[in-house]
Amino acid sequence: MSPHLIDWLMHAIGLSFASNPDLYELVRSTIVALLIFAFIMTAVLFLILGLRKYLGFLQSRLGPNRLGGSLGLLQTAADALKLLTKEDIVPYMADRVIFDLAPLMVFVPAFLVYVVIPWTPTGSPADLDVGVIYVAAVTSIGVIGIVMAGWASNNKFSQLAAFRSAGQMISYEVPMVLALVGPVIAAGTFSLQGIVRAQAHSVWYIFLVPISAVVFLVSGLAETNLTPFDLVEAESELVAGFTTEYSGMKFALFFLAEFASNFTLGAIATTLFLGGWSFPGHWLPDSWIWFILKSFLTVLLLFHIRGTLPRIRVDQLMDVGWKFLIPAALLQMVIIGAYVTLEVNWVVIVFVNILLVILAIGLGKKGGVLAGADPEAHIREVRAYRRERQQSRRRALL
Amino acid sequence: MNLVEIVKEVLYSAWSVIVGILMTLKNLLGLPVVSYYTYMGKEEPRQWRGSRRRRVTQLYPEEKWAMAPRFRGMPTPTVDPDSGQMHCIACLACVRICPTQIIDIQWHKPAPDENLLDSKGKKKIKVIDKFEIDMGRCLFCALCVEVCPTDPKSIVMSKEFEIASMSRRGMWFEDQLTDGTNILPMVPVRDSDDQPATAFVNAAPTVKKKGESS
Repeated sequence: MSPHLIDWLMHAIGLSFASNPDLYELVRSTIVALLIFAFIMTAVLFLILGLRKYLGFLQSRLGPNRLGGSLGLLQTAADALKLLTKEDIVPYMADRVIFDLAPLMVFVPAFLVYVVIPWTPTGSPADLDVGVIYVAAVTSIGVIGIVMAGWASNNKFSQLAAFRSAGQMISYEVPMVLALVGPVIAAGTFSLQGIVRAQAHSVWYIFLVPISAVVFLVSGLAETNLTPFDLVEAESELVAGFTTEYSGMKFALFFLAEFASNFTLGAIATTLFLGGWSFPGHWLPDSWIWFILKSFLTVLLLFHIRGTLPRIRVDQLMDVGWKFLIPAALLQMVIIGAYVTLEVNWVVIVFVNILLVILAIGLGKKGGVLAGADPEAHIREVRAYRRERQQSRRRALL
Repeated sequence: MNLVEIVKEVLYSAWSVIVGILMTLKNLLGLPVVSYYTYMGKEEPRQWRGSRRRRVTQLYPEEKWAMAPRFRGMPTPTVDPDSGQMHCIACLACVRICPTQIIDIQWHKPAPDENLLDSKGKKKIKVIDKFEIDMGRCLFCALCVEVCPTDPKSIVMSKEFEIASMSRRGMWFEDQLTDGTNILPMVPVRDSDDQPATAFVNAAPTVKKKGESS
């Protein structure tokens, strides 16, 4: 993704734009866009295989192991071929136009984020001054596609999934944006490239604004519909959620968009919290390699969480979103805002944060200060309330 | 719920999530994990065995489970591996008792001057021309085995279960290959072998389907 490479490519094609800088920009951005698209699609193919293998190993299974050697390297390609050759079925009474548009509405926004992602120290495809706001805006467009798919499918499962998706969005989008504000305050800029540069000069922001990082991770899981927040395509409840009526290439678009947005989440987390293209301590030169490596490791963490946690209920998602994530993100905003206003050195902030994390682990872990914490107390309260209500109804009947 | 309790619950939940992630990570790396089975004392804690991860997947066509001792697979005639003679004496008891009449045994009396010996070295009274089983209708009731009078049993329930075929004719098994049938697998049983007088044997025969090389 380096500019030298692109210039070399254009030279190799035999194009010279010395007289026409506009045309040069056009061709250049087209090449950049194609390169990024090709990279993301390749990465997605390997992510799908990687998820299946990783979940397999996690659960003492093997994962794909027939096609393409014992690693199943060709399994994804074979699945894609199968999906391409499948019949495209449109259900009876479906809203045809919206039904056809919905996969695109999910697929295209998944790639729009990469416009502002800073791949290299020298630049991103377009270094917007409002990069963070752009990210927040673009990543939520996909939900419209899901709602469209659910509405147009003329299917109860799809529709339920669409409603769930809309409900899910209003609970995670607010904490997500609030979590994005943490790094913005710390760096003093909305530009993603600027945030990475600020991290390269000080420290990764996961140490500076850890609560923001956690809130971003949780709400990001909700945004990409990964377990424990995969309410939208809950197999055990909604068949296949909003993709129930989709087959063939349209389903493949949904599928690719899902994994592309996983990688997007990893890329944004890397940019905002993990120092982007910088290597810790500058022991090695800054490069896009670190960026991609960090992104893949973040995605691996997402897959690991997916293999660990069970799905939560809709009301529990609301609980997490409104009662925990938003106050936590606001708290972090206040803290980092106070630090920045008082111009505290980042070394002090990191030191205080590490102390706080150690304190929290000491409080949270079993046998710690919080050994008496009773997480099921409210469940008992609810049960007692229900019993009381039932008995009062019986009394009323008698 | 007051603020202290909320903070307590949040920290407790976060800690439990971290513990869960570490648990799955341990399983991924093959480290000993306290699972439900180890907790209930049903299983030893998993140990690191070289670099091999614990794997429960069975790669079916290459790996097969050992069948249970009393597994009822395909009813199969036994054969004496030394003489190559079937133990069957063509008494037709199995043919008569079979509820779905799938066993077909054709035989003839040898000429008086023929001196054919059976698996026990005695003179044969009946010579078997054809031994055929139509597995498409078999009930796996093992009545044929129970009724068999010879010792060792001339027909046993083998461990063979891969009998499926694309056609009804493909389910016919015969002791000699004719058009549209499969070769009947034989369980080698020596007369001197200490075979229990039950319907079950432990040896699994090899089925040769039509089209495969002999």
